[in-house]
Amino acid sequence: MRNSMSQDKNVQSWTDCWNASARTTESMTNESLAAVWNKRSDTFAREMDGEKRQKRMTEVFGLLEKAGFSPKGAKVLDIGCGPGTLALPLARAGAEVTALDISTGMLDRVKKAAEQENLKITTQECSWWTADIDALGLRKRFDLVLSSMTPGVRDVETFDRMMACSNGFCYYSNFISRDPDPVQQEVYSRILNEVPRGNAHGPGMLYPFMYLYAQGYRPLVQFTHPDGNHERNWEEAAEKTIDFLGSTRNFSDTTKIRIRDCYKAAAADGRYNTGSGTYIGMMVWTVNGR
Amino acid sequence: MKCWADCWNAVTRQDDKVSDTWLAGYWNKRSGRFAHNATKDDGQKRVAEVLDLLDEAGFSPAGAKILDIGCGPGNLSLPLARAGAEVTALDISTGMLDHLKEAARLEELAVKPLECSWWTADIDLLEFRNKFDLVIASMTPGIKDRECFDRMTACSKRFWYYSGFARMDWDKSYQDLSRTILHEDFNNRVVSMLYPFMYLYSHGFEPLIRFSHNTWEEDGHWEEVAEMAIDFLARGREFDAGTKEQIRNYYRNAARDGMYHSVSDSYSGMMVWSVG
Repeated sequence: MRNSMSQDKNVQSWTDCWNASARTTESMTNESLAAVWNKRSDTFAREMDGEKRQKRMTEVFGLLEKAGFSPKGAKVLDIGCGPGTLALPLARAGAEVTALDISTGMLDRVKKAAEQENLKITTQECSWWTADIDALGLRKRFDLVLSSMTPGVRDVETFDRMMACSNGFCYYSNFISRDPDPVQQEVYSRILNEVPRGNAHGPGMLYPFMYLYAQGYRPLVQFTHPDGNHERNWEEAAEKTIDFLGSTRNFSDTTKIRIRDCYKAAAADGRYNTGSGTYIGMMVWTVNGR
Repeated sequence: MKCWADCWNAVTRQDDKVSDTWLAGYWNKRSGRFAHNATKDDGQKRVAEVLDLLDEAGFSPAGAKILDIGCGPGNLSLPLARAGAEVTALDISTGMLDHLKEAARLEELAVKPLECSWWTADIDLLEFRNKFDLVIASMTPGIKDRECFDRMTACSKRFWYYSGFARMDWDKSYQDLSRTILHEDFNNRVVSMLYPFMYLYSHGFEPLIRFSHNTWEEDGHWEEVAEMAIDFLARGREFDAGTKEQIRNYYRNAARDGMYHSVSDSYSGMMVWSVG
């Protein structure tokens, strides 16, 4: 590091930029987020079919291996573990996993699978936005900390908290840019009369990446563009938007009907295309690796 | 790497398209104000930052051949020529180049102006390929996508400088007007410098970077501000008289003693990379 004064200033500027960008996304409370995910825990695992999940898994494991991580005997923290998409295969490969999520519904699924297969998984129900890592005994305790596509890690504060739990590796993935659901945009401007806002995932993967780069880290990165069918039943698409936007607002029945009508009108043969502009970025780095 | 290139392309496609003739007209109108702003303290400070970063990367201007894409009134071309470089200064706007020519003539600087759109530039015809020691693209809409960026990189054999916005929040009037009068969403997102940066990183480059945060406040007569807003929001379309009147009314009402106070807030990033 040639010039640490200007580096600090640089990191500070980037921190401000990230925070400014994070502020323009939907603000939800812990409770409303938990409710949304509990509701989705039944269908969530189904949404990603076996083949797609297998492909994603191979990519994630490949990247971790390339970075030098080996799961056998490793202590892993999975923030926003969902139904255990990464926690379960890592435990199967011999890791001891702490699976953390805000949703009881998701954790119930993880617990059940872990019991059935006799895997070393501890679950922790908690919101990462307000987690006290010292009280939970998580600081510097893990060989790998995962933050895979989770709204739990959404800004500088929650990202720093994630890194503070690792002793070795970190893995982070998020969308790069996501085409906004066009009907959702319409709902914002025509029905709610609000300025459209981003999704709860925050401004995307490039922000944490640049935050690391400016500090001198050089993460391994990989991008993927999951293709395939993005069609879904218009009713499901409408419910998802009602759940998401309704979690911070009080929707009257009329509003809900108007939202459903928007989706119905946009659907062809009952199917609604949610767009295909999804790019995902994954990165792995070591916390001492500057 | 390939996937990143696709991702960048996809983002670029979402941005609305304007023609290069429209862009030339837009910048011609603004050339006077731009040249004036460059002489202020802010402008001077920014130039010093760029020269520092180039210096840190190991570039020295004396005797160097430089291409400045989207040079504007010469904010970087002129100081680099004063430091002994031979500069080809390219811009789409005659108005911008006139300011540059006049300054270069007065100080007898080695600056060669060239009026040309980078979107359609043929670098072989221009004999630019591999010809320069440094190629500059500073905050220019000339580099609108990956193709334009690749064309830029092909012109230098050693150093590159690129800067762009990482985030731009325009004055809130633009958002108000878009929603209430034009009934459309104002696209606050700009194709950020993060895209070219990541393109380089995934090719194995590790550019030097600097970020800065700028808040821009300006008082202007409401009529002038309204005309600028009409140009900006129309982006090549023609608004009918009623719409224009509504926009003028907005600024007339928001003005105090005839003056409208606008505030925009931006984060920009500069980067320098090199080979060999």
